[in-house]
Amino acid sequence: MRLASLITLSISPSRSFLFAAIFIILLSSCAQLKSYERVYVDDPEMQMGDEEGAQFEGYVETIRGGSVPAKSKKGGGGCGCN
Amino acid sequence: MRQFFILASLIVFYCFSKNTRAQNKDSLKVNKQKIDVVYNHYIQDGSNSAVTGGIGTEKLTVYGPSLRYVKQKGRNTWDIKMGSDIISSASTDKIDSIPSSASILDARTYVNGSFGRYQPKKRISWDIGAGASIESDYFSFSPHFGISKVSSNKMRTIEAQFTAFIDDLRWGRLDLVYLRPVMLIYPDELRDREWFSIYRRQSYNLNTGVTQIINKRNVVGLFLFASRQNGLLSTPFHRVYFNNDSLAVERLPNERVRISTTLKWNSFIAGSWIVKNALDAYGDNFGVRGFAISHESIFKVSSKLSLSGDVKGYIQSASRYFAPYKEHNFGSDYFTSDFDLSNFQTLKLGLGLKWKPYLYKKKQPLDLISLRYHYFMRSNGLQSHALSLFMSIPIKN
Repeated sequence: MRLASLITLSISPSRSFLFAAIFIILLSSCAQLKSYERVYVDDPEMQMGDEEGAQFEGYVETIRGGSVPAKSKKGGGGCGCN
Repeated sequence: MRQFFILASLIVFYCFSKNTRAQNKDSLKVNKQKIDVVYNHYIQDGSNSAVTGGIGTEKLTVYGPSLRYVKQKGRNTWDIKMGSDIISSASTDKIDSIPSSASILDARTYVNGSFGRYQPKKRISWDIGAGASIESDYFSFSPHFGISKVSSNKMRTIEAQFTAFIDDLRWGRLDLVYLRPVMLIYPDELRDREWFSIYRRQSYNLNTGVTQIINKRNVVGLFLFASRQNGLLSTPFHRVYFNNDSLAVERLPNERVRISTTLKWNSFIAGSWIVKNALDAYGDNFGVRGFAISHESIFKVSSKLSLSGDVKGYIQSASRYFAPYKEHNFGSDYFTSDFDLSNFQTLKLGLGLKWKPYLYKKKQPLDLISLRYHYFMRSNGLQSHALSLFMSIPIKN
């Protein structure tokens, strides 16, 4: 339990965001894709958004875990206190 | 030679402009309608209910049907969703001293509507809308606005969405005697005084993100969530028992600032295998810190059928205002025994199936059927099962 607390305390969202932003900038110098090369990245399963069923799971998780992940649909509205 | 270059330039210009016009015309020709039918079933059990001060049953069942209608015509999209979560909760039945069939059953009914438009020249999509939800002791109104822009080479998408939730925690709207908000509901034995002078809660949420295509098979996304909540953040029917045997209603600060980041990496590894990985980090001014790691593997068995499995681990440190049953010191400014704000680890395991039975057929009465199951366990003993059925039905114009 103490180890879990140490891990969570050492990872702050702002620090993670800065690290990830640098990571994305480094990756952004990648090659461009032609239309016929986009068959994999345009696949519906490769998109970042959640489907309807997953949205409900995310909604429950934001209540039963105390946190709200970025890009989640829930962030208020509705009691969730049962 | 000079004439050749002029002619070649004209042909290239003509082809490019024709292509652009064709693309614009294509986006204007789109005319699609569909209805999504969703049913969620959720079962939970545990023994740390906040209603009874951190002890007692958390047994809960949610039956959640919903309908969504989407119409896309030209560059415009209309989206309406409505549904209801019918909640059978053993813990809310403990608000009153006498268990009753009326307080054991509640429903959260909601409706959301939005209008979106795509501007192809600027490669910008925006949408504006509003939602509302109502429960016996809760009403929420939520306007939202979102915008996204795709880069000229279509490799990067930047997006932002703002949502506000204006909530009222008073009971009475669905009571046939009152049919209007009347009062906050406190535990039965604590109704001798008004514990709070406010009854509204406001949440202002900003979601931003950037999605970058790395190569033919890899996409990464970085997302940031920032939220400010103020008003009544305590739940008025949560009990807290102190170490001197006295009893009070949960009390939390009237302001909460939350921030989280998510890094996602989706990869089309092999011919039919897609992996989706994500890292989440969360922090707020209540002292809660959370970190999650998740993985999902999707296998495309055929063009009609895909199977998936996923796992998510999460660790959380407790809020500084949390203490279990009878461990709070009497006289503290803020106190809660809600185990959702405690120190714990969770594990979620899931399976999914997607089927497109009428793919390649001229008549498609059903576009997609999706079935998902999830098992969730928390280190303090709470367990849940969730089942989601999703059907997408195209409508003929």
